[in-house]
Amino acid sequence: MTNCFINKLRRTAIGVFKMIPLPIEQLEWLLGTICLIPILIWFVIAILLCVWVYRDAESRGMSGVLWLIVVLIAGIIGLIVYLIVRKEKPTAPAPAPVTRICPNCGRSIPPEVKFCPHCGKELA
Amino acid sequence: MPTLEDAIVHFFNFIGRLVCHQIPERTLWIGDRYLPVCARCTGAYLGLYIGYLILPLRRKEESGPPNLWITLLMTAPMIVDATTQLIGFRTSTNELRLMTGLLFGVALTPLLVYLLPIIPTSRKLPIVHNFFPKSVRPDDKKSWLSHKAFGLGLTLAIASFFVINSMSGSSNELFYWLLSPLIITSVVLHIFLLPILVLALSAAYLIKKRIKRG
Repeated sequence: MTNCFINKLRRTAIGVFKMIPLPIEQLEWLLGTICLIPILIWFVIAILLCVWVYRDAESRGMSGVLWLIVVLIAGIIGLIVYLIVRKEKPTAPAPAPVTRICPNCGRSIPPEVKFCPHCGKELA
Repeated sequence: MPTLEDAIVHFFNFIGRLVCHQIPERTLWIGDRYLPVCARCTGAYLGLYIGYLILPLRRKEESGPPNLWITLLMTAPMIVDATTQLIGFRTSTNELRLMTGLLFGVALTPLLVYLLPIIPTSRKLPIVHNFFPKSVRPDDKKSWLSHKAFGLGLTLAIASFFVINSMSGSSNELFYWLLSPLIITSVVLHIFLLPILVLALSAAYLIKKRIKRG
C-alpha cells in the first residue's frame, strides 16, 4: 500500500513538473549569476588573508612581501607553510630598573629615597 | 520532454560546471553517467565530509591548530598532482586524483573548523559551536586535533577510495544517486554557503562592536 502511495505521488510530481514550462536557460543564467556572489566573497577572504600574512610576517621580522607572494601563488598550502615556518613574535625587553648612585658611598640606591640607606647621606 | 530524473541530473551537472572543468576523461563514470565533478573534486568534496567525522576526537581544552605538518602532508599531494599535470610535466590518473582529493578534503575540514572561531560571533552558531576549540592560538604547540584523529581520517579516506573506486565503471544507478547528492551538497555547503556564513558572522560582529562603542 505504501508503494502504491509513493508511486502515485511520484506520478503526480512528474505530471506537475511536465506542466510547468521551466525556462531552463534563464534559470541557469540567474543561478549562475547568484553563485558569483560567494565566489567574490572567497576572493575578498583570500585578499584579507594575504594582508594578514603580510602584517603578521612583518611583525615577526620576516619579509612580508615574500610571504604575501608565497600565499598568493600557493594559496592554502602557502598559508600552512607560513604557519609552520614563521618565527616567534619578538617580546619587548624588560625595562631596565631605574636606580641612582649615592654620591657619597657610590652604591646603588632606589630613586625615590631622600637619604642613602647605606651611608645615611642626605640626598638632593 | 525531460523526465524528473533528467532534470535533477541536469541540475547536478550545472552545479558541478560552476566549480569544475568536468573533462570526461578525468571524471568517474558511475551508474551509466559521469559524476557531476571530476575525480579530484569528487575526492575533495567527499573528503570534506569525512573530515567532520574525525572532529569528535578533538582535544577540547587545547588551543593549538591541527598538526600543521600532517595537514601539509595531506594537502600537498593534490596540489603537486594538479600542478605537475597543469605545467605538462606528467599526466595523472583518476585513481590518483581521487585519492589525493580525499586526503586534501579530510585535512582541510579541521583547519576550517579551527579557524572559523576567529570571528567571535561564530560561537553563537547552534550545535556547530560545540566543535570549536576553546580559543584560537596558532602559536600554541598543543594541538586541538590529535594524531589519532588524523590516523582515523587517513583510514577513512583510504576506505572511501576503495569503495568509490569499486563503484567506478559500474552500471548500477544506485551508486550514482548515492554519490552525486553527497558531492553536490558538499559543493553547495562549502563553496557557496560557507562564505556567505563567514560574511554574515563578520557583519554581525562589526555591527555589535559599533553598537557597543556608541
